[in-house]
Formats: sequence, C-alpha cells, structure tokens
Amino acid sequence: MKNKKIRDHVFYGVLLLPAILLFLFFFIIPVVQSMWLSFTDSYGMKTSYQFVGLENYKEAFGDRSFTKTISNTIQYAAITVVLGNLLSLVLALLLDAKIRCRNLFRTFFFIPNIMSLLVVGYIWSFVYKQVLPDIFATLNLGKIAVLGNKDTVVWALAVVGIWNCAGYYMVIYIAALQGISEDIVEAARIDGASMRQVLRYVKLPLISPTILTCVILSVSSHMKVFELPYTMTSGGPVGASSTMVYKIYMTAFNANRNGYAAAQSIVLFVMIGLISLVLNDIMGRREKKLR
Amino acid sequence: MKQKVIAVILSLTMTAGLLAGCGSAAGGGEETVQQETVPESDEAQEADKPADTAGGENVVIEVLSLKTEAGPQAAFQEMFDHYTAQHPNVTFEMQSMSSDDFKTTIRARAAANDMPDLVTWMKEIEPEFLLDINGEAFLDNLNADTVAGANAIYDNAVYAMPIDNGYIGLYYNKDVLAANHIEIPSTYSELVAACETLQANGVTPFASSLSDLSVPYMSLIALFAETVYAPDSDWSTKRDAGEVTIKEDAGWKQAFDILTDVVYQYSNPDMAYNQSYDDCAALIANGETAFYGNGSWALSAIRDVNPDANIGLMAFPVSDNVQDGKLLCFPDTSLSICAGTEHTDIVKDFLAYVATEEAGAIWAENVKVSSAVNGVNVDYDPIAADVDHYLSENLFTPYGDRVLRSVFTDKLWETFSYYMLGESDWDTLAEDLDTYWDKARDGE
Amino acid sequence: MMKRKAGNALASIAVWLMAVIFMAPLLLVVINSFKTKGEIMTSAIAMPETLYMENFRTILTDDHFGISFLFSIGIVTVTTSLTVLVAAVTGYALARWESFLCRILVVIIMSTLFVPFQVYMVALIVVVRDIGLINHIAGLVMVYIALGMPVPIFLCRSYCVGMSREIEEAAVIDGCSKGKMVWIIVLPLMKPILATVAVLNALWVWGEFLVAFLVYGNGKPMTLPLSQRYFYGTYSNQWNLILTNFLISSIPVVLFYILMQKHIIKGVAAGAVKG
Repeated sequence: MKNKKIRDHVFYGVLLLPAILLFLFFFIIPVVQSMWLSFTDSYGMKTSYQFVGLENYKEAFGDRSFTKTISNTIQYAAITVVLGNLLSLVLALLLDAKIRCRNLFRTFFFIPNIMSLLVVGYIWSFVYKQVLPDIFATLNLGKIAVLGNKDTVVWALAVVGIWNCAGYYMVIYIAALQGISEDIVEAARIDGASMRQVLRYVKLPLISPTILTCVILSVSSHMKVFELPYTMTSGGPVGASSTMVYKIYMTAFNANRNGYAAAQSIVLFVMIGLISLVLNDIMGRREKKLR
Repeated sequence: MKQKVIAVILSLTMTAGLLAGCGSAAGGGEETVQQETVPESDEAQEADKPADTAGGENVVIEVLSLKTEAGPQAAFQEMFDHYTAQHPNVTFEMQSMSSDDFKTTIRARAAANDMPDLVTWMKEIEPEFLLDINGEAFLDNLNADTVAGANAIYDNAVYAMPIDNGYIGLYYNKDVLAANHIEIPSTYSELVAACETLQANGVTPFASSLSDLSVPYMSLIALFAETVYAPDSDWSTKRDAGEVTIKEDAGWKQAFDILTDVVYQYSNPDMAYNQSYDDCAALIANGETAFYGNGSWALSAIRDVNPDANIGLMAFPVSDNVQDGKLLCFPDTSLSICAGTEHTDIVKDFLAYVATEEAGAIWAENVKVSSAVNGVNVDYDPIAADVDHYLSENLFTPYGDRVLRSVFTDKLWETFSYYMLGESDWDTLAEDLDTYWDKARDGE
Repeated sequence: MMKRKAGNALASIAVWLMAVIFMAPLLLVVINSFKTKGEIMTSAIAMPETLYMENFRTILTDDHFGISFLFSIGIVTVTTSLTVLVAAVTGYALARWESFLCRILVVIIMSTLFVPFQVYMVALIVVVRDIGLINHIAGLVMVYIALGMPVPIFLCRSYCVGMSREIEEAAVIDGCSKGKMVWIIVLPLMKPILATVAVLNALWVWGEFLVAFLVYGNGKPMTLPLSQRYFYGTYSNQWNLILTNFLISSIPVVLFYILMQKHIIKGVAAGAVKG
C-alpha cells in the first residue's frame, strides 16, 4: 500500500516537473532577483550596486510625481471598471434577448479584444488626433484636442480601455445570464413582475457572483495599464495620464534607476493584491449571506 | 472558494492578454527595428584589391543605431557598401531605432551579454561596455576639439568617435517673414515684435508639438545653453559644489520663461496636441509658420517635405544684445566600439574608414550636417552658411544637455512642461530640479 | 406579448447603435487604408476618391512580410502544442494529487497575476542568457510556454476536478499503466477545454511582441510583430501605410477568431460562471 502511494507521488511529480522547471527559471528566479533590486541603488547598465535598505520605499512615498501616478491609475481603473462592466452587462442583457444576428453582434463586440493593445493605441491615436478634429471642423465646432486637456485625457484613455475589454466581459455575462433557468423567470412573470422587476430582483441577484468576478478581473488588468499612455500621450499633458506602470518604465529606462523602479513596482504589486483581497472578501461574505 | 479560484483563473486569462499588450508596451510603442543586411554584392566580390581579409573569414559586423531618419540611414548604407567593396569578407547588419527604444534595447542586450559590435554612442552606455580607442591613429583625422567635446564626461579616455557636429537653434522661414514685411529678428524684442505682427496677420508664429514633448524640450536645451552655460561654462561644477542653485539662477529662469513666453505662447496650443515632430517640420517647410526651434537632425525632415524651403537658422535671441545669441553646437552622432566585440581589428579599421574624407563627405551630404573629419567641406545645405557664421565669429557654446546626468534630465523632461503650461510656479519647479540635481550627483 | 415584441425591437435598435459605435474606429482603418497620405491629411473622415491600392502593394511586397508571416505560424504551432500538453498534464496532476507541493504551485501561479511583466523582464533576460538560449528559437518557445501556461493550467485543473475518476480507475484496474492511462484516456476526455486553451494561447502568441523582442530580438527570421516595428518607425507619420499594415496583419487573427469563436466563448465563460 505504502509502495503504491510513493509510486503515486513519483507519477504526479513527473507530470508536474516541466511546469515547475519552467516556473522556476522564467518566473520565480527573475522575480526574486528583481525584488532584491528594490533594496539596492542599481543604476542603468552599471553592474555593481549597493544595498540601501528601505531608502527606495521611503522615497517612493514622498515622491509626488510617483504618488500622483497612483491617483491617476486609480482614477483610470475606477472609470474603466465601473463603466466598462456596466456597458458589458448592458450589452449582455441586450444580446440575451431574442434578437436577430446575435452571433454576429457578439463577434463585433469581441473583435477589439483580440487586437494587441499596441495596435489599439495606434488606431485610437489616429481617431483622437486626426478624425475627431476633422469631425469638429466639419460641424464647425472649433478645435478639439481631447488628449491635450488634463481634464479629459484620462477619460479619453478610459474610453479606449473600455472599448478594448467590453466584449470580453460581455461574453462572461452572457454565459451567466444563460445559466439562469427559464422557469424562475417565467414564475416571476406569472406573479406579475415587470421586465424591470425581473431584472432587478431575479436576474441581477442571480448573477451577482459573476459581476464580482468580472470586477476583480478588470481591476487587476486596468491597474496595470501601460500601453495606452505609452502610445497615445507619453503620460501627458503635465503628467495627467501618467500611470504607475508607465512611471515605472520611465524610472527604469529613462532615469536609469532600476532599484527605485523595482520598489515602485512592488508598491503596485501590493496594491493590486490588496484590492483583490478586499474584493474577494466582500465576495465571500456575500456568498455566505446568499446561503 | 470555487468562485475565488475561478476569479483568479479569469484574471489570469486577462494577464495573458495583458502580457501581450505589455509587449507593445515596454518594448516600446514605436520601435523601429530595421534590418539592413548588406549582401556581398557581385560588385564587391570583383573588387580589385581586398585590402584586409582578416584571414579571409566571413565576418558580420553588427551595428545598433539610434538614427531613424532617412538621411543617416542612407549614409550608413553607403559607407557599409564602400567598405564591403574593399573588404568582401566583411558585411554589416544594422538595426535602427528611436532613442527611447535604443535605451531599452541596449540594456537588454547588455544583460544578455549579447552586445553588438558597433553602436551609436549614448551617455547611458556605461564605459565598462565600451572600448577605449584613445591613441588610435585615425582619431588624428578628426577635429581635435570635437573629439575632446564628445568625450568630455570621461577622464582621459576616448569612448566616442564623433562623426559630425550638430546644433540646436531657431529655424526661420524667410518667405513667411518677407510676406509679412518683417526683418529677420536678431534680438529678443525683435523676435517678440515679429511674433506679434505675424499673429495679427493670422499666421501662427511658432511650430510646436505638445504630443511629442521632445520638440519644445529641444528649444529648452538651446535656451539654457545660452543663458546658463554660455556665460559660465563651469556652472555644473559650481552647482555640484553647492555654490549656486537653479532656484536662484537668473539664467535658468530666463530659459524657462522664454520657452513659455515665446516658443509656447506663440505656437498654436490647441493644435499642438494633435501635431507630431514630422508635422512641425512640415509646418515650417511649407511656410505655414515662421519659426521652429529644433536641432540639426530636423533639417533633413524639413528638406524631405520641401527641398526648396527658403529657411535660415539663428541662435535663439535671448536678450537685446545680439552678442548674447550663441548657437549651441556640439559633437552629435558618435560611434563607439563595444568592449565585447570579437572583431576589434575590423571594427577599428572600419572606424578608420569612417574618419576618411570620403566617408566624411558621404555622411555630411546625406545627413546634412558639418562633418567632424578634417578637410571635409561639403556644402550640405544653405543653412551651413548660418552655422559657419556663428562658428567663425566664436558665437557658439558647446554645453547642452549631454553633460547633465540622466537622473536630472529625466526630472527636467518630466517637469519642464508643467511650468510651460502654467501648472507649477518657478519655486516648485526649481526646487524639484535642485533636489534631483543633488540626487543625481550623490548617486554617482 | 405586444410589449415584449416592442421591447425586442428596442433592444435591436440599441444593439445596432452600439455595434456601429464599436466598429467605427475599425471602419475608419479600412477606409483610410485605401487613401493616399494627402487624402488622409485633407480629411480623415471622407470616403476615398479612388480605390488606391498602393498601400497594400507596399506592405505585401515588403521582404520581411512573407517570411515573418510563415515563421510566426510555425512558432505559434510549436508553442501552442507544447503549452497545451504541459498545461493538460499539469492541470490534471494538480486536480488529482493532494499534496503540499500542489498548494504551493497554485499560489505561485496565482501570483503571476499581480506581478507586472516590466518588473522582472530584465532579470528574465539574464536567466535566458545564463542558460544560453538568447536569440534561439528554443529559448523563445520555452519562455512563451512559461509565461503563457498559468491560465491554461487553471482552466485544465478546474476541468479535471469536474471529471469523473471512475473511468481512470477502471483503466488502471484493467492493467493499464498510469502514464498510458493519462495519454489514451484523460487527454481525449479533456479535448473541449484543450481546444479552448489552444485557441486563446495561439491568439496571444501571434500578437506577442515584448517577449519576442527581449529574448529573440536579434534572431532570424523575425516574428511578425517584430518585423512590423519596421513600419511603425520608418513610416512614423504615414498613417496610410500604418493603418494598412494593421489591417493586413489583423485579417488572419480575425478570421481565426471567427472560425474558433465557439471555443473562445466557451472557455472564457466556462472559467467564470461554472461554480
């Protein structure tokens, strides 16, 4: 019996071996090395560096140009998460109804998601810098530079972020809606509930776990936004669209301060982790309540 | 619990997507990786006297360049072709990319222990990765001042072989000025008056971009070179010693104020966000604006749009004393041999070729700059006369941003537009800059 | 009944409206890829005056395009097959084997979610260099598998948890070795989820740039996204060529998506809703 157990361990161990080796070499070792850098003054291409303790972390929290990117990132993430999920949910509800060409529409809404964000950034630069001014000129509305106004720039980027992701969450919501049994909906209708009431009191509560799932997913992805400011605004104007990952990139490759950049990214890592944990906790409590 | 795991699964799906995105990202939005392999052409094979065959072995020299304009790329190509014709066993492979991408790439290549053989010099490349070419005979073919200037940040070593002299100044379109009956301004007041007249006539005085901040940044470099480093070339040393500060320096404030009051105020701020570097070149080339502050590299971009544009170049007028207008001239493109190259002799031999009059002329003609090679006197552009005027009258200053440390210039790059756009006041900006100057100095 | 019909009609209109808004940027790309640079500069929203095909010719006749296209297809095939294989056996083992190691592994896989790639990319290059795989196809494929496998592993694991053990046990009792059993029984049973995983992975690898740039930037031939950089920089302001390039390089992905959309939607939805 014991023999069999050992054989089992060996068997599963062998199955896991390739994955473990790959993770070790291409994830764990590099990540641990990078974390170590956050306690050093590693600079540019210099091969030697010194241990500086928590110096970089102290600086990060006092550095307004970095703390500002935290609030920019949170603002961007808040807009994209809330409005993005709302839009996806609306799309899902519309496509859940029995309308013609449902599959075609699903394809339409999903296509922006299969394009790389680099391409997306370029396309929307074109829209914002060439098309929109042309439309405004045609309509005699004067000049417009949405990417040049510090009040609109984050919104402009958020529109792109939402456009890119809406189809993805829509698919999840559709699946959740289709999981609701017809009987429950019919029963509610027979009891005299209006469409709106069915939505409010039957459908939404039933898919609430899915909503929270999508919120967690979108928080962690939007907090890491980088390519949109990189391709569209270079973080401007006056740093209004500089996000955390963009700042980390600039610190590492423009200011050459690898150590400081590593510390900044650990801050981001902890933030995403914390937000996810809090949301997870809310989700857990809700689930308990439902039971 | 299950829901949790599933949330994570899905997040992971997103991460995968993100990674793909990051790709675009960190790698760089607009990487240009151009592969230009120079094949051993038939012509080359038949060349009469292959001078150096290095044992006849076929050698590929890998070159990494941050010159993305058409001119320099054509010049490199021509030099490679000529060299290969003489040495059929040597071919070149060049990648060109923007300076941002160059920084990322060179870092990755250094980490990978996979440096190219030859690179265009950048101060970010640590000396340990470069080969000291001090004492090489071919350096004598180059203007000694230029070589010294290109290596000013090193002690007694020569890591950079300069091939041309660049400048940053103020381009002006003579036709636009003439059409508005304006004399070419030579003092600050005249410049402001000219802008006022142009604006009154419905012409945008300055071409500028706010989506590509490097455009106004170049004007800033030229301005502080004139107001800070031209009067006092030791300013940096004094600042390091703590004898002066940016905050209390009238020159620094003046540079930022001129940038704000003239270069920015007299551009078209609404349009500037929708305009790129190339758009600016097109504006001045087509006579839609009268002035444009930028460097020597912008000339080939302007000529690409309109080869016959009637333009001239001057130092930014910074005061009402004409003599204060000093053109920022500095060794620009330089080549460096990487320390790890296996083909040291061949690369050195190629540099010796680059230092010949023939190669110098190829470079100057294509890139439209003045060569660093002695004896090369190419009439590359009508602009050359303007540049020569400043050089011969000794009205130039060699110190721009390349003597500044990158921790400081990164801060400068980040914050200069805040002041220009009225988002921060002088004290905030200057204190920030002073802090980072110290940080940069202490970090070394 | 009438009311419901009216509701559906409203929904139709709303969906059409949204679809138009969603597709507008892409339509602009298509329209403008048939224009000359001058036409775009004059107006980005006008219809092209003639069907100008020169943009397409410029891009399709580019030396790098064809080779890179084929090379990318090769890389995607190899990477995706191996990723699917690794993810399948790993997911299976994680679902069946109860041990401390498994729990650790799950945590590590989860943590990949929180670490931005920029954080460890330079360190990653150093590792790849140390094992001598920089600029090697093998190095690129291995890193792709490592970075691309967490999601597939999770999807496979949760799929296996839901699979009945009876068939497996029966096979073992019949004298089948465990290894053989995984190969001839478990993997075929996992087919639906493996198809999903393969499609998602292939989409990612096809468009991936940064990893390729860092660990294979100097290799030959280039992958498609690497060779595309050529256009972004050289034609920095030539929107006509840039947009055409986007259009051409997006066509295979869109076609692939349309063919495989069943699997993609199933996979995306399966993960989030089941449970």
